Amino acid sequence: MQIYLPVAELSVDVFLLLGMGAGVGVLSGLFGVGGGFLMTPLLIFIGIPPPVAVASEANQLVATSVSGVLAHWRRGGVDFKMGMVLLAGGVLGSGLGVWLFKLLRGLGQIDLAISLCYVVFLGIVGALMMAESLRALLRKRKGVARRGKLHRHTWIHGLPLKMRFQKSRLYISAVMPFLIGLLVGLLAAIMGVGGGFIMVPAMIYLLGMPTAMVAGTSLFQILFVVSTVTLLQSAANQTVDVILALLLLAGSVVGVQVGSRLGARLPGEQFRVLLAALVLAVCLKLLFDLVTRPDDLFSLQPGLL
Amino acid sequence: MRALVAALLLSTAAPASADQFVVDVSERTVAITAGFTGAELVVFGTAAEEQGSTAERHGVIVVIRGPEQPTVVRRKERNFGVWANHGGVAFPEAPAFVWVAASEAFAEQPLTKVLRKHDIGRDFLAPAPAAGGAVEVAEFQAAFVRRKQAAGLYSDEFGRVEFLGEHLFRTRLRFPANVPVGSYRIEVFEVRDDRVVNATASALHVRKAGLEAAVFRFAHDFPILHGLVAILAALMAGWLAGAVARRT
Repeated sequence: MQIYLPVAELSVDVFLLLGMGAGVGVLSGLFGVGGGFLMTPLLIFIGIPPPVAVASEANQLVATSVSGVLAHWRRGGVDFKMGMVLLAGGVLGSGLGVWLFKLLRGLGQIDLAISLCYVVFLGIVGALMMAESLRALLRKRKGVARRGKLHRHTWIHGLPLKMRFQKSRLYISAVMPFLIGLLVGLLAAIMGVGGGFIMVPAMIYLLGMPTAMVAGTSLFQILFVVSTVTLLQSAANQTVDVILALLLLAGSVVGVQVGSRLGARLPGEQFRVLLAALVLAVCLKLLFDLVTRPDDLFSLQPGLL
Repeated sequence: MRALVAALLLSTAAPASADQFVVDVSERTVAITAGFTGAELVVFGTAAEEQGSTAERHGVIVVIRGPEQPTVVRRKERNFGVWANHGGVAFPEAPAFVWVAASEAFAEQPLTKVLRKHDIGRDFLAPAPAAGGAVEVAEFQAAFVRRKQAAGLYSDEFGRVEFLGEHLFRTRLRFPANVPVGSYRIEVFEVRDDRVVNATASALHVRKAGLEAAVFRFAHDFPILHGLVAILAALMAGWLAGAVARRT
């Protein structure tokens, strides 16, 4: 059954969109990731114009993150103070990102920018994740439990504007979370992702936040950042397709439930290796497309120079 | 529609109308609604001269074209191992969609050759670039047409115009699902002895209708409000999904 997407201005099979939502939803539920980094390239792959794919995926992520935030908040897993600092950076970053997006679109370089961002960030995160989960697997096999130091003093603790974050039991400079938020906001606007895959490792390894607080707090920031991106993309570029977002959402709601139930029964470490492999595969595919000679060197773009 | 064709069939039977060149189309407005998968149009009419014989050099050519849409053609070059857009040519007035059909005598020949010969559609065979164009404009023009054909928006060969008798002709066009919205022109040319002896042009509109039109207008006329509504809808949907999930 075909449906005409009013903003994307093309017809797509409803079941294809629902299926994509469900498939990415299963992975989200399984690994606890938003799935934007998979959904946006998939949307572009099926022919949705990249600006519409990025903006509509941000809109869908509003829905996916709100139920997550509520669940973590009920368990007391959201550090609101940290969230606000991250968010301040995030709002600035997403504003900057939407502006940059419009500029690059005018120059005809937005597709390249989106692909390059994906290759770089998926490459880094995928490689780190792969190394980390393989190390965890090896440790488990050897049966040696290595205990990390409780507090490591690094250059991050030398930054000014120190703030106390009671919930995370941290006394650190607000500069670092602000910068992390800024980067994530920028990426959310350009790549159509929530940015959890960058923020979560950054919160654990750079800020040293307790893992119990990481998921809820990052989702809190993501919720507001993707809302800001939705609003700004709609206002500046008119590229948010609500029908597309709602269809993806309907599929992902079901998928997430299936995924989280599956995840409870499956061994965690092995699956983290799989997720890392998936991230690296998407990265390599995009890299391959960038470096191989395209079938036609020419392409069309609406508008003028 | 069928009634119209029947009426025309009857009218051609009367010899008085035989020397008139009349063209009409089954619908003047194509509405794009939620389930839109493309639309079919029938263009029909009577040729002034006797065309029914398959004599060469006689026939009818139908062009459906529209809406003018500024488009940039970009070319990729390899920089630091990566293929990136580098340079482009803007075509401010090229039609976004072109469909061409012809009767038997022409349909066997290459489309470009026939159209050039009769000086039809110079602006879409080789669209005019914006002022100060590059040296290799021809390459970009060819690329424009090639990409349009690949997207199914430009004909790469003739559709078929059929004759039913000596004067009455008809052709069937399928608008694809990605047909651009806007004003179209239907141009019909009657050719005799390799010369265009009659030509007519009339208008056709493709527009969004119903919910699709409302959503699109809302997104463009009230972009900020639209953004807020989009967020609110997603918040509600997400909250609802969470609530249902907790129940089960």
